[in-house]
Amino acid sequence: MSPLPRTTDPEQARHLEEVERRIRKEADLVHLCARGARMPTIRNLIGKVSDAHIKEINRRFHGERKGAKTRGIDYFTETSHRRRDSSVIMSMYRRLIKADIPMVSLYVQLHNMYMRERTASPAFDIDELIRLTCAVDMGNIKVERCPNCGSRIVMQQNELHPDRFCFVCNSNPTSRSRVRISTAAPIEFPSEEAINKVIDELVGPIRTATELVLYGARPQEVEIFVPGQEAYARKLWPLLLGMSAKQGSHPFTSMYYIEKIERRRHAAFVIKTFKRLKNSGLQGAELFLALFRSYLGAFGGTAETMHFSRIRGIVNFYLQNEMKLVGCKICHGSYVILADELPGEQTCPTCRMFAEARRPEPAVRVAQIKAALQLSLPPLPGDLKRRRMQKKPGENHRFSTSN
Amino acid sequence: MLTISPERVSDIHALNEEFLRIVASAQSGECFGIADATFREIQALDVAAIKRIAATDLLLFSIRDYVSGSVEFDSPQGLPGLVDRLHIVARDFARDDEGLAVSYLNISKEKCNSLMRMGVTQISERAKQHSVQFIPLGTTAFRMLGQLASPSERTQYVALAAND
Repeated sequence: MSPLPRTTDPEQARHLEEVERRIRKEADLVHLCARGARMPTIRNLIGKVSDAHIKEINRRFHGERKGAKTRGIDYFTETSHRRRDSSVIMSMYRRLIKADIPMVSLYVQLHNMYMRERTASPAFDIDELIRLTCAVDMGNIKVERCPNCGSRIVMQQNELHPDRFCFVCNSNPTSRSRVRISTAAPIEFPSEEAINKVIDELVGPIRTATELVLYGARPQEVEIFVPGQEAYARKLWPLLLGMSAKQGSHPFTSMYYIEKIERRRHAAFVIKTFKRLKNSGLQGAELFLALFRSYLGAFGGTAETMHFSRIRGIVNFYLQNEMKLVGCKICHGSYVILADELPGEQTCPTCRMFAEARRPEPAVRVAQIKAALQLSLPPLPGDLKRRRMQKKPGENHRFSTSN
Repeated sequence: MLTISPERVSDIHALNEEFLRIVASAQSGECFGIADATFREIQALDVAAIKRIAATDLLLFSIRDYVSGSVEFDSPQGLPGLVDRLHIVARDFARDDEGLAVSYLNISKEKCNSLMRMGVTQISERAKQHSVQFIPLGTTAFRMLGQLASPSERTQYVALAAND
């Protein structure tokens, strides 16, 4: 899972953090359910979650299986195998706790590490593992060291002589003669891929919708890429972009892209990158996000930078054969013409770029800030008009052209 | 940050620079799929020119698997190391965002997924099974690439002049 794009704007960052928190909570819930956590444990760790939601996720991993009843703390030392597993868990827990990671991640990692070393059958689920660590922390179970080899041994409060229970020193360590066996079906832990698949199914749409809004996609466009997320996108627009979401149809046609020479070059870049990304296996929202990001990387901060909807417009017009790419015989670059234009009659925008590169440096150069690397907001609909309307500092209002 | 970060951009520039240096010190351009004229152009570049051209935000080469039965050239010195580095950079990119690796490093989504499942040792092993290929730029286009001053202009031109 990739992290959401970072931002430097504090207000925007606060809302993004909220989205991140929501996504993290959902992922934690899936991890806990997959590893057999009970409802009270889940609520204790991640807060309010509905029973129905937990049951739905549990059903994906364990079907209609009913969990075993919660057992007392004797359970952890009932057999030599369980005592050994408990001791291994406590050794790993003591090491992990120093790493200062969030509680759920700590328990998930601890359970993953334990599953590689387990000897008891059935293995402890995450709920039992959490109860064991809590019991030790509360002092209901003690952890002693073997006097001979120094290994950690988990023991009940009334048990003495850790050397008798040490599984390193003794080939047949002492254990109780009567062991209670649960009648519940043993839990089967799903693979990491299966867990990640469910996480992607649950949080993928929220993540993609947030990312699309962050790049300035209209709610209607978000709906096309992530069905069912239009209302969420509409709510997110003012929070992340500081303006209400644009509605209605797009106010531009394919003519927009040939109104200025520069736009032909922009459109050609978008089409060529789109084709390359499609051939590399990207599709849907992922493709358009990668396309827009690479477009901003190359053209961000220029006067003619286009917003997300216009980029999508280029691809649409190209796929509908309203636009085509032609190559310049001089510079070998490509540019866009409309279907009813004659190739070769236009000024090649790439040749113009070379001509500008060859132009001698001016004696005094106004420092230009490369805005592309500092974008905190994407180009948004109406940006050009807003810029036109803004009064420049020191401008004589009487002769201003901004009205 | 809505665009690629400066750290990631400098990774791409470093890979391009290493590639151009390997080509410049090779015996022929055949094993990189480079035409003779372009190969001579690259060999004639001085250190400053190599640095300037390498500062393009798109990778100037792509990797390809060895196909059994095809003519295998002797791998030039440093090439497995370059492929190894590219794979590690691609894995880092893909961990941030898969789309980033695909759009900037000419690597397929499938390859990104397989790289993310690999450890460093496995990646180094796999590097021996790959060769690199210059992106489909003609000699004229390569010569003109050197005339552009800023990385974003070069990036635009490489994307627009590639015959793909």
